[in-house]
Formats: sequence, C-alpha cells, structure tokens
Amino acid sequence: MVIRNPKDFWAGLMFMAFGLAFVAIAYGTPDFVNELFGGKVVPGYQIGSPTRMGPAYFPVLLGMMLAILGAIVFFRSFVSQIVGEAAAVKLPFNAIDLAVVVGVFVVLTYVAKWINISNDWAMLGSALVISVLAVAFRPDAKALALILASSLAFAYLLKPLGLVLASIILIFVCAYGGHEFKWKEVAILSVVLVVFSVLVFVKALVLPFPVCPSFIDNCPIR
Amino acid sequence: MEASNEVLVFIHAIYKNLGLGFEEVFKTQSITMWGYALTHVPFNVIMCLIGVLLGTLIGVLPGIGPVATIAMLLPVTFNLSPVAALIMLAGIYYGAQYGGSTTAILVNIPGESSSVVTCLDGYQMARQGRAGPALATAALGSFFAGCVSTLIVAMFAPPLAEVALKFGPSEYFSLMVLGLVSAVVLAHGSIIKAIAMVLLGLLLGLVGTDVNSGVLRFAFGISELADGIGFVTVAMGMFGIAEIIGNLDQKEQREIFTSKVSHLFPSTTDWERIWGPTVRGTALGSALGILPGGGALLASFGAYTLEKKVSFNAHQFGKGAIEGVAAPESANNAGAQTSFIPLLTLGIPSNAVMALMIGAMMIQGIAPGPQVMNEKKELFWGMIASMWVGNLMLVILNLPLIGMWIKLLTVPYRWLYPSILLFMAVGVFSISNQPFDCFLMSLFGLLGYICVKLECEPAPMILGFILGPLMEENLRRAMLLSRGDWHVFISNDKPISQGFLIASAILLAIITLPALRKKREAAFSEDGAAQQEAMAAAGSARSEEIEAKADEDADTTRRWNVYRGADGNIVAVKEGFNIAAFLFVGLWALMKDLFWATAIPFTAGVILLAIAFVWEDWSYQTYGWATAALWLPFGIVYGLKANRWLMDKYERHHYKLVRQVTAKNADTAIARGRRLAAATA
Repeated sequence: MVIRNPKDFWAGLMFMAFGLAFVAIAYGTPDFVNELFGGKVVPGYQIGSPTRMGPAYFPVLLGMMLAILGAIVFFRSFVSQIVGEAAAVKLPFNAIDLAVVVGVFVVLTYVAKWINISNDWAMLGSALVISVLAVAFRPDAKALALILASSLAFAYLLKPLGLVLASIILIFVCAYGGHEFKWKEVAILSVVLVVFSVLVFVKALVLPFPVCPSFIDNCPIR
Repeated sequence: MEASNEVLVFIHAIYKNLGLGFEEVFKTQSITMWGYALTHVPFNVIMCLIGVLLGTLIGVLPGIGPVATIAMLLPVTFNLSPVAALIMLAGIYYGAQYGGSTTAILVNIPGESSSVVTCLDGYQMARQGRAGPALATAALGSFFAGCVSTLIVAMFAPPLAEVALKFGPSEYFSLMVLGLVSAVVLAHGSIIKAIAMVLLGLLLGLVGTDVNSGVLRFAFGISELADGIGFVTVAMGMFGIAEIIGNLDQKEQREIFTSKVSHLFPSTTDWERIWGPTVRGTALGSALGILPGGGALLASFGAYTLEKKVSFNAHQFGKGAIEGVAAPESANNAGAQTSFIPLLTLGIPSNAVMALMIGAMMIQGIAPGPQVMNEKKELFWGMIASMWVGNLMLVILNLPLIGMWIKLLTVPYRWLYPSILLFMAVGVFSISNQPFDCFLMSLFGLLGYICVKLECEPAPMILGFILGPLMEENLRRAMLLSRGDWHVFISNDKPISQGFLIASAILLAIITLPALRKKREAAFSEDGAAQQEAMAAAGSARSEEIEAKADEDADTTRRWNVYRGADGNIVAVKEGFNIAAFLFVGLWALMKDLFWATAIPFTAGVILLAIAFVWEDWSYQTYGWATAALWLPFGIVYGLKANRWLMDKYERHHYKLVRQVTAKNADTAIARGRRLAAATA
C-alpha cells in the first residue's frame, strides 16, 4: 500500500477523526469499552426516537456520515490518479509537531491548576513556548505560529495590560512573523494603529476596553 | 386604487414600498457623538457611504475580502440601528465588487474572487494603454446592473416571501438541503471533500446548549461554549486568519501597472460593444444570484462564458476585448444584489457573506425569514433603496477617486496584515469580552489553514455552520408532525419539499458526470491562465470534431452566407426565415447586439405597461393577451428581416462575403467557409 495522494490521506483522516469524535461524545462510549474501564468513560446524550429526537440523534447521524465520507477520501488516497506535486501536502509542520503543540497546552493547563494560578497564564505561557519552538526549530512555520500566538497574547493580555500595550505586543509579534522585519517601520505602524484603535474603538464605539495597564491607578485616557 | 386593475396594484405596491425605502434611507436623525448632540443628520446615507467606501477599499486590496471585513465589523454594528447596520454591511459586499475590478485590471490579481475573470481581458486592455476605458466600463456596467437588480429584488422578493410564509418545517429542511448541495456543487475541487466540509460545519454549529432538551453538547465543561461557537469567530478564523497565514507563505510580489490612467471615458465604438454584454451580464447575474449557493462569483464566471459563446467579437476574448470586462463586472454586481432575495424572503443564506448578514440580523434581534418583510417594512425596503443609493455613490465617487485607489495598491502587505489582525482580534474580543473567543479564532485559523492546504474549501463549511441548528430544529419539528415517518420529505402531499429534494438529487447526479466534472474544474480553477488553457483545449477539440464532419452534411437546401472579417474571423448567416428571431424578438436581438432591434420591442413593452397602469381595469390576463397581440406583428417582421440585419451588421464592420455554401448548421457552414477561404487565398 503506497499513499499516492497525501492530501486525500490526511483530509480523510481528519474527517474520520472529527466524525468519530462527535459520534463518540454524543453517543457515549460503547459497552465493551465501559466494561473495560468499569464504568462509563464518556456518558453520551440521549438518542431518542425519530419522532422525539434527543440531543444525540442529529449529531450521531451527521458524525457517521462524516466518518464514512472521510473513510472514502482516505481509501481513495491509495488509488488516486492525482499524484506528485498536485497531491503533495505543503504544510510547514507534521503530525508530531501538532501533537507537541497540543501537549504544551495540556501540560501548562495542569501546571497552572497545580500551582493555583489563572488558566489565562497557562494560555500565555503556551503561546510563548510554541512561538519560541517554532522560531527555533520550524522556520517555515514561523508566520503561522507567530500570528496565532500574537492574537492569543493580545486576548489574554488585554485585561491586565490594557489596549495600548496589548496592541503593541500583537503588532510586533505578528510583524516578526513576516518576511521583512524593520524595527522603525513596525514602531511607526504600531503608533499609528494604537492611536487609531483608541480613537475608534474606545472613544467612538465605546467598547469597554481598559486602555492602560491595570496597575496604573489614574489612567489619562478613559 | 382600483382593486380590479391587478397590474396597477402590483406596480403601485412596488412604487409605494420603494418610496418607503427611500424615505427610510434619507431620514434624518438626532445622534450623539463624542458628547455632542447633532440633529438632522442623514445617518443612514452616511452609513451607506461608509459601507461602499470600505467595500471598495477592501475590494481593491488583495488579501482581504468582504467576508473577513463584515465579520470584523459585526460587533461594531451592535450599537447601530438595524437599518443602518444592514445598509452598511450590504454596501461592503457590493462595494467590494466595484473595487475588485480595479485591482484585476491594473495588477492582474483579482482583488476579489468574483473578479478573477475580469483579469483575463481587463489586464490585457491595461497593457494596451486602455486601462481608463476598462475601469470606466467596469464601473458603469456595475452601476447599470445595480439599478436593474435593485428593481428585480423589489419585484420578486414580496411574492416569494408570500410563498415562503406557507413553508412548513419539512419544506424548510429540504430547502436547506438544496442550498447546501448547491454550495457543494459551486465549491472548487473534490465534491466528497466539499460534502464532508458541510457536515463538519453542521456538526460544529450544534456545539452549545440544545434548545429542546437544555443539554450542553460538545462543550467539554467550558462555560464559554454554552451559547455555542460564535459565527463571527469561525468566519474570522477560517477566512481572515487563514488568509493572512496563506498570504505570508508566498513571497510578496506585485507589479502594478504604472502607466498613467488617462482618457477614462469609453469611445463610441466601445459603447456599441459594451451595451449588449452589460445587459446580458445583468440578466444572467440576476438569475444566478437568486439561486441557493449562487452569488457574485458564479455570476461572473457564467457571464464570461456566455459572452464567449454569443459575442460578435468572441475571437478577441483574452486579448483585451472590452466585452470581457463589461459582462462579468455587471454580472457580479447583479449577482451580489439578487443574492439578498433568498436571505430576505426565506431567511436562508446563499453564500458566506449572506450567512454573515443573518448573523448581523440576529445581533439586532431580528429572526430572518419571510415575516421580516411584513413586520419590518422599513428595514426591508430601506435596505433595497440603499442599494440603489449606494450604487449611485459608487459610480460618482469611484471614477474620480481611481487615482487614490491606485495609490493604495502600493501599500505593502507587511503593513497591512498587522492592522487586519489587530482589528480582527479587537472585533472578536468585543463580542463577549472574553479572551476565549480569540483562542477559538486562532484554533479555527489553524483549521482553516490546514483545510486550504488539504484542498478542502472553507466556504461550504461556513454555510453548514450557520444552517446546522436551523436544520436540526426543522428536522425535529417535521418528524414530530409526521410521527416519525421519514416519508414526510418526499411524500406527494408535500410537492415543494419533494421538488427541492429532487432538485438536489439531480444537481448531485449531474455534477458527478465525468464530462461536467472536467468543465467545472476548468471553470473554477483560480488561475486565469490555466482556465483559459482548459477552455481553449475544450474549444479546439470541438472544432476538430466539426472539421471532420464538415463535408458530411453538405447535401441540404439550407444556404448560408459565409463572411470573413478583416482580422480573419469567419461567420455564417443563414438565408430565409429566422425562427429564433420570430419567437424571441427582443431577446434574440439582444443576443445579437442589435441595438434598435432590442430597444424598440422593449420600449413597446414598457408603453404597454404604462397603458395598463393608466387604464381602469386590466387584469394580468388582459395584459398577457395585449402582450401576445403586440408580439405577433413584431415576430413576423423580425423573422423575415433578421438575417438581413445580421448581414448588414457584418458588412458595416467590414466583413466581406466569401461564398454561399449549403450546410446543416452554422458550425459546419463556418468550417466549410474557412476551408474555402483558405483555398482561395
């Protein structure tokens, strides 16, 4: 068995995984798994009948259809006529990298719980760890990692640091992900954007964002 | 108002409703801004202006589309009145169609996906120093299309909404199936993957609290997911973030057509060449926009293909034919506007932008559906009237502002994407003031990026996402009413539901035919050059086939006059009575670009309508008979004279008669004519 079309291979796997996950969560784990663990692993929702559909009915139906279509796409990848360059997956990371990313989030979430700090710090920490890892080991995925990390950083820093600092961090981090990075240019850009967003979002549209960091008591802009 | 005059009632209703709409648009309001209370501000007009300017801006800029922009602005509209919000968002969509053509013509990059085909001829025109007329043609064609399709929305939406009011849950469910199937058919790439993406979207739409049982589904104990995943979050992640990362993957290279854009206005010959394609593009675009799954993209592809079939200058396409700019640009604007019809009457979005409009209506507390038209008259008609106003603004503003838009094209992407990202993050954060939404946006950005790399279209997923809860709700209701009998969707008691499902089945069956699949792949290939190549390959295969059969059927009494143009183009005109002209009169003339022959019967029709309007008691039936009586003399004259007019037209354009030949159809006649011309030369 040779994978002739990697695009279909991975797409099929992804669809199967999503489909089966939805079915498993909605229907609950099958009996033999429950017996193995001595209790229901995933409880599942009520299925109901066609007349009175329970919360699990429609998701199970759709999830099974998705898994079946995923399987078709998956097995098609072994007999596909589309091969070579057109079928190559050009992702800058592989499945193991993705697992590492998920692992970082899970581990840091547990660490945060353990040392009893807010989960927000776990998110920020994960974004930082992943950015550093990407820049160091996966230069092709730099843009991807830094753009996702910058929006995470913005979201979780907005309340403690305020709009001004959070925006500046977002702009610098995501600009660093691009092809060219010039300090002066990005600095000017961030000044312009910060002034614009304070005027538009806080002044004109009255969004309830803190402008200054929470440790500054009397903020000049409100 | 005479109740017996049905025509009068119909026209009067449209007139009254549009009047109401314009009143709503130009209404002055008192607003408070920065602490200053302002009175008599035409707020809706200002929002319309902001919408169309913003739309043009993002249309011009490649790398950001109307979906991401509208998603970004959705939270902002929370503070606006429903009318102002929808007017602005609608303006962004059709404004983007205007702006997209500018980039297509000057840079050969589609600023908007619906102007992909405009690149083919528009950029060639720019290279020949005719960028000005190309830009003006695009703007004027769009304006014409905008005016006509506004009228079409005003005419067709009310009767359709009346039908939709009678829809039960089974009809709605089947209609949504049809909508999703059409979205699949219109997606690029593999059909199975597109269906899978729809299913994935439907499933993701179910996350959150189940309305019927109150059970929290697929939430993993995260309290932020109790209300489900926000639509804006998904749209911004899948379209906005994924697009930015995708753009950064490629090295930035943009060559702007630097030659100065001079003499904007089209010449007399240009006018003669563009009126036909504009009218045809508008008609086709309006029709394709109404279809579920349709919209601007499909309309522009359809119009370009049609124009290549019927145009007098078909052989110049791809080499800078002005028809190739006029037709798709008017079609995409018409399609953008008529795609509001299914949204406003059925509450069903036909594409991702319309799905966002549903989101906007829901933010304002309006449940989309046929009842909107009766309950929110000023909202519905205000929005339609604003389309006309917006189009007028676009054509007045854009021609003088073209210089500014060109300047904008020189802004490098490395300044652009941090700004877009910041606005998206602010927008998503402001929905519920929770950082979790931004986390979800990043997650969907990653998913969207992976999907694009695996050639899975995100557009069908978005449609599925918005329709997921609606579909489940209607499925449940329909099954409850039928006591668990699945036949409720296809039984003969429900002809509408049955019809929708049969139409979906036929669509799916057709699209899996191998021949059509190839054509679909060619038509939807992003790359303009590849598309042209595929089309040319299909064309040459066909002409070889015709060439082989050329002599086969020479033995008929059908006589053709073969003409040869100055540039070597060969056409054939049949002698005798023209049945197509007899049957279709004005429409036939429109297809053949005969101006007076088109204008006269349509004017006569309008005069008839005016008579019907003034006369006391005309029913639809009387009007129908009068039209038939008018058509017959026209038809006879057209049937007899049509071929003469065509020959006159060719002679006016310096075509020379090569020879008279006998052949069964035009293709073989042309093939034989070409052979004869080659032999004599």
